[in-house]
Amino acid sequence: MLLDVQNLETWYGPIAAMKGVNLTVAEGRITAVLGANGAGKTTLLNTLAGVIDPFKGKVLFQGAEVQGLDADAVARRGLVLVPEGRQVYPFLSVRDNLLMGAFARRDRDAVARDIERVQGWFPRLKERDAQHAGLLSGGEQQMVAIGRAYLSAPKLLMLDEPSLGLSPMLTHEIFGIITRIRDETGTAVLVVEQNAAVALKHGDDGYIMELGRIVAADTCAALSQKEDVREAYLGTGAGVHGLSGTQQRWKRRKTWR
Amino acid sequence: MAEIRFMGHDTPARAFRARVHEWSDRPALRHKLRGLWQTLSWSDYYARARAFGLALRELGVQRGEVIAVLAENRPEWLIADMGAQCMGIVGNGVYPTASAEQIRHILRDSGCRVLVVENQEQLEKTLSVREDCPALARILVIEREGLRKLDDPQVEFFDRFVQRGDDIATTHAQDFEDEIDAGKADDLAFLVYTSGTTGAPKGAMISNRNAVFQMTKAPEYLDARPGDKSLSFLPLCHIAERMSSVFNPLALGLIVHFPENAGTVANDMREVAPHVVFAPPRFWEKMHSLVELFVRDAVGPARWVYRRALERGRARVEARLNGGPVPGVGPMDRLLNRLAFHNVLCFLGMQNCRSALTGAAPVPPDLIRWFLSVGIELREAFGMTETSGFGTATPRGAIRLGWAGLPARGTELRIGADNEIQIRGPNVFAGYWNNPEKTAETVTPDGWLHTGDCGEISPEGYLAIRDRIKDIIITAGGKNITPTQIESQLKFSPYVTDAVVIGEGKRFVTALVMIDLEHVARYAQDQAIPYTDFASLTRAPAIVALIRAEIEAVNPRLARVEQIKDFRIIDQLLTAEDEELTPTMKLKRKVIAQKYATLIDGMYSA
Repeated sequence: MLLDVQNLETWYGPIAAMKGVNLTVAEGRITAVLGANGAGKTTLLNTLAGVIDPFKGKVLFQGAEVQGLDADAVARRGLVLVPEGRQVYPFLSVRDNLLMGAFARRDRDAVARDIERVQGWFPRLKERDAQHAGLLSGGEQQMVAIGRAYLSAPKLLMLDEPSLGLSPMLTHEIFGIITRIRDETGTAVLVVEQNAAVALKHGDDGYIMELGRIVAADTCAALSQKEDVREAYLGTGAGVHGLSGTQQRWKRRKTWR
Repeated sequence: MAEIRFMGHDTPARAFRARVHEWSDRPALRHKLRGLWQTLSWSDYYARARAFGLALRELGVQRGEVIAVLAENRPEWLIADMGAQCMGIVGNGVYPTASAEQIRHILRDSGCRVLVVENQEQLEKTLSVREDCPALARILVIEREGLRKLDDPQVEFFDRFVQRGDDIATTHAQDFEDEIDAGKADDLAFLVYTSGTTGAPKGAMISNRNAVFQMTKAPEYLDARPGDKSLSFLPLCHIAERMSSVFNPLALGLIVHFPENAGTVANDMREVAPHVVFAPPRFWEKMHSLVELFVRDAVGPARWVYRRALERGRARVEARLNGGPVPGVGPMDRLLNRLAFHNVLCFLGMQNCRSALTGAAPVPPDLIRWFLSVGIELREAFGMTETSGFGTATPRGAIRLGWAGLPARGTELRIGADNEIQIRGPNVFAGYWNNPEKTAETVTPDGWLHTGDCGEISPEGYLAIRDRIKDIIITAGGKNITPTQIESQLKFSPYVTDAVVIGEGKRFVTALVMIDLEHVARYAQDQAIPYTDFASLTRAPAIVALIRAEIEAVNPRLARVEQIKDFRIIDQLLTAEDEELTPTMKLKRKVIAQKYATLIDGMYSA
C-alpha cells in the first residue's frame, strides 16, 4: 500500500473535524473521497500533507510514518497537495509557476522533460507560457496547479476539489488529464470532491465522508450503484420535484446500507 | 362507573379552561425561535387552541371525528391537540419517522379528517397517499420553507388556518365554550396508535375519564409546583409524552419546553434544567455513559474525586436499599459530592430535577444505583398505552431494585394465567378504534386489562415485570427464558445500544448485538483499531473481542441456561426510519429474526 491512514483524528480547538478515519491508497490508482460541505475532506488532505498535525492516528507513506512532519518534508517524500482554490503565484509566469514545483529537484534534464509532459497534457499552458498566472482563467489556473504539483515528481498526488468553480466541460477535461497522469506515469492520486458524479466516474476506489467519519468505502463502480449514494450524491433518486409541485428542500436521512 | 374529577371537572377540556382562568398570564409553553426562547402564556395557549378548534368546525369536522398531527414536538402540536379536544374532536399523533405506508394505514384506519404536517418532507409523504384517504379534507403545513409556490386546494398553512379561526372567534367565541361544556366523561380525549412491534398499529382510545384519572394521579407520582419546568423530547405520539406534556402541565402547572430539534436535546436539557423528567431506560443509560466517558477524558484529580465520591455514594446507596444503617454523611462526603456530583448534574442539566422516572423497558439495577449515588432518585414505573400512561409507580423514597412500584390508588392489580399482569380501574383505556375483536381480546367483560406482560406481585404490593409473554423463549431443552431481562443487562454496557436474545427451540442461547457507534468508534480510536465504515468496524476482531468481553461480564449473573454462548454484531447502522427499529429505537424482535436469519443460523450451524 502506498498510503495507509490509520485512525486519524484532527481537532480545531474544541471541535473534532475528523474522527477515526482509516483509508488506503494503492499504487497507480485514483482514490476519491466524497462528501458534502464540512464533512472533513479538506481537513483530511491538509492533515496528510502536514499542514495540520493530527491529534491521534498514523499516516504511513511507503511504510514510513509521516504524520506530524512539516509540510515541506512531506512534499519532499513525494506526497504532494494541490490545494483548494488553486493558489497559483499570480505575478509569476506560467513557466515559473511550474518551475516552483520543481524547486527541490536537482535533476534539470528530467525537470525539462516533465515540463514538456505537462505542456503535452495541457496544450493551453504552452500557449500561455510567459503570461502571468494571475491572468489565466480558473480552469487554466487549475491546470497550472496540477502541473506545478506534478513537477515536484510526486508519488502520490493529492487534489483538493479540482472541480471547484469550473464548468462541467472543464471539470471533465481536468479529470480526463488526471486519469492520463495515472495511466502514463503510474502516479497514484487521492482526490477529494463534492462533485460525486465525476469523481465516481473517473476514480478507482472511493470513500464517502460525513461529519468527519467515513460512512462507506468501496470501489467507485460499486459505490455508484448503491441506492443511498445515488440518491444523496448523484441526484438520481425520486422526488427531486415532489408531489407538492415545489423543489425538494430536505434530504432523506441515510442509513448507508 | 365512579365519577373521576379533577378540580371538580370530569373532562380535561374543562380543567384546561379552569386552569387558563387561574394562570392566565403565566407561561405555559416555551419553544426556540432562532436560538431564543419564546413563551406562550396559558391564555395564548387557550386562544390559539380555540382558533384552531373553531376553524376545524368551520371546515365541517364533527364531534367524535379524528384529526392527527405529523410533526416533531412543538407548540402547534399541543395547540392542535387541545383545540380538537375542546371541540370534542379526537386528536391523534403520527410519528414523524413513519413511512408513507404507515401514514396511509393510520389515516385510513382512523378516518382522519385533518392532518397537521410539520414541513415539506412530511407533506410529500402525505400527498403520496392522499388518494387512498377519502376522509381527509385538509392538510395543514406548519413550516412554509420551500413551499412558496404551493398551489393545492387541499393544502393550507397552519398559521393561516389559525388566523381564520381567530376571525371566527371575534364573533363566535361562545361556540367554543359551548363545545367544552358539551363534553362527557365517556367521550374520547385522544387516540394513540400502538407502535406495533407485531402486526399493524392499532388505535388505542383514551377517554376523558382516563385522562382525568391520570391527572388526579400526577401529584402522587411527581413532586412539582406551578412554574416548574419540563422538556418535551420524547415523541408526543407516545402515551408517556402525551401525558407528560399535555395533561401533567394541566394538573401541576409545569412549563413545557420544546427542544430546537432532535439533535439539540442534550443542550436544551442543560439550558432548561427541568424539574420533572420521564424517559425510557435508554435515555438514562446514555446520560450515564456520557458521564463515564467524559470523566475518562478528564484530568487526573477530577477522575480521582469522581471515583471516590462514587465509591462512598455507592456504599450509602447499598445500605439504604438493603434497609441497613446508612453511614453518616460527613464533611468529606459533602465536599466530594459538591465537587463531583454537582458538576455531573449540571453537565446533564439535572441539577433541579426532583422527579425522575423511567419505564417502558426493563431497567438495569446498576443504572438506578448509579443515579442514586449521584443524587437522583430514579424511580421505576410501569405503564402502557392501554393503561393511559402509568399503571404502577415507585413511591418517592421507596425504591426497590427490580420492582416497578405500587399500583395507582383506585386501581386493582392481579396475576392471571401464564403469570400475566392484569389491571382494572379508571386508567384502563376505552378499547381499540374500530376494532371490537381486539378490544374483546384485551379487556375482559368485567374490566380486567390483559397487559401481555408476565410478572409477580410482592407481599408489599410491588409489581415486578418479567417479560412480554409472547417474547418468552422456550429452548430445545424446554427451559423458559425471559429475553428482555438478559437484554437489559447487556444494554447497560456503553458499547451496546440494544440486543436481541435468540434461542426459541434451540440448544443454547445467542444474541444479536447493535453497537453504540459513538462509544465503539471512540474505543477503536483509543486502541488504534483500523476500520473504514460501520460494517468494517463491526467486523474488526478487536471490536468483536470487546463485545465478547461485555457479554462474558454479564454471563456469570445469568442462570446457566440463559448464558449467551455466541453472538453476532449487526453490521448496519440503523435509524428510526428503518423497519428494524420501533420509533422509540427498540429492535423489533420478529423483524430482526427474519432479516438476520443467516447470521443467526451461522451461530447454530457450527
